[in-house]
Amino acid sequence: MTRILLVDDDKTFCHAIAELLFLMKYDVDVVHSVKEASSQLKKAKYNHVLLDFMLPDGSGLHLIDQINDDQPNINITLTTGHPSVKNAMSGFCTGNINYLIKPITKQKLESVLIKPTKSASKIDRHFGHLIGESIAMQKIYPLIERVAKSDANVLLMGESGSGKEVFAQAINHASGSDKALVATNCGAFAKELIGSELFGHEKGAFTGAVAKRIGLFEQAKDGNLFLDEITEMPIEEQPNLLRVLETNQVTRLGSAQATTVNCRVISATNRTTEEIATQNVMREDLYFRLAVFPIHIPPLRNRKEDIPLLVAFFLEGLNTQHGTRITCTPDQLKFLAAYDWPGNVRELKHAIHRAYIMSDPQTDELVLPDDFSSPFTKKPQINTGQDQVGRTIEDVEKDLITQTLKECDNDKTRAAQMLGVSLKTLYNRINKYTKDEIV
Amino acid sequence: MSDIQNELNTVVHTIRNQLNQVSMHTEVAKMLIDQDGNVEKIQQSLNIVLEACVQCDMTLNSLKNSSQP
Repeated sequence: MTRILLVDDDKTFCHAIAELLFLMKYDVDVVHSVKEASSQLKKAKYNHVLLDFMLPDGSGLHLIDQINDDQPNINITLTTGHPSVKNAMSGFCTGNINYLIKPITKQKLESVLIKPTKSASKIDRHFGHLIGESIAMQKIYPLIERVAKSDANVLLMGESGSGKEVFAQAINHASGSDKALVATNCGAFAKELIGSELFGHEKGAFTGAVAKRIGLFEQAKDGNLFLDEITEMPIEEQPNLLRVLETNQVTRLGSAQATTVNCRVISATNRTTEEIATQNVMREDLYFRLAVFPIHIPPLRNRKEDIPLLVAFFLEGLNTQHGTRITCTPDQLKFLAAYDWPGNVRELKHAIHRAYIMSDPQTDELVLPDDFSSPFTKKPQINTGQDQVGRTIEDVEKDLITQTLKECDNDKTRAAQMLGVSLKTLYNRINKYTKDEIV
Repeated sequence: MSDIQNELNTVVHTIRNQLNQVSMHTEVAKMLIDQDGNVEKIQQSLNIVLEACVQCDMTLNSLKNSSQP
């Protein structure tokens, strides 16, 4: 938890701001003079000091040198109700020093307490959001660049935790839209509320509709709408969505008036193309409307070379937030790369957070667990050899090729590399087995 | 700086502090409502907001009276 020292002689102000910071989940200590602050800074470590400009026993500025000497990573925000000193204070506002003019709002407080990581980050983010320089990611960047400039609907397909919403944010960023991405999860709605959420409703349209509601399609007008877990939308609700996509017209529930909406839909699913085709989770006509431009997001196990960058990014965020300098050693990176990360980037992020919490304050290094496996970890199939007896070499080879292709998301070049055969040989084998099946 | 300017600065400072009370306690009340917080605390914050509004009104009246010939 971020710890804040509040230094101000106005006790009414201190009471209010302390209450506000407490509700914003900050840990706050309050002192009322330079002397008290000086003593408190020797006793405890803080991430941020909110400092009054004028205190009864001197100026808050007298404390700045001591703070910088005692706790160099600390952020300082000078508070004042004197607008005339704004210009004078702005001269101090470099590096870790900022200022806040009363009246104070939650938004103003957040703007000084939550440091923008974007500008401070040393890690390059493609389209403002995506991290990774692996071949798998390099193949995706041109796709995003091209589709973002068009108005085509995009279907993002990838395993759970692979960062589908981050990719949607990247497309929104690359599209040059000045509107924020409007995002929702289709799996999170009650069946009877989904229409109201997407298309909106008029007051009194149904029991409980106490006020007019603008739907997500209207909110995303002239921008991008992200529909996560699209395959979890009840199939009987899908014709309504299809109609909006075909006509670009949305009618709020309880209204006779249609409104024109012009937004691109970026949808996402963690189901494979085969599952979509066979499990009756999406109407075929809707699929073709949404998947004008499908993008397959690689699982983390297929872009392990991005792990060091992702770890550095997560650590940078944690270090900035908590004013620490925890690092990950090269051996630890190797250990992280040896695991398959079935939960993908999300699992890696949480593992780094756990290792950060456990980090050793003496060495400032992460402390990784011996084993990352979770109930969802896919155990490699252990081949005991028992079930091979009586099977032909061809059958075993066919199974091996099928499994490898599945592991490589049907990327034949990579599958051939993994199997240690040429691409031509792999194609010959696949053709042979296909012919055999037809015969 | 003239006496009038000094007085004006003092009034601006006072009003700014009262507005600060209004903004911070409104934020506290909003957050308590969002977090299903204690009703008594919400009322307490809103009472402070009302009180600060009354104080602000008094400050503005005194400014108006002092500026009348």
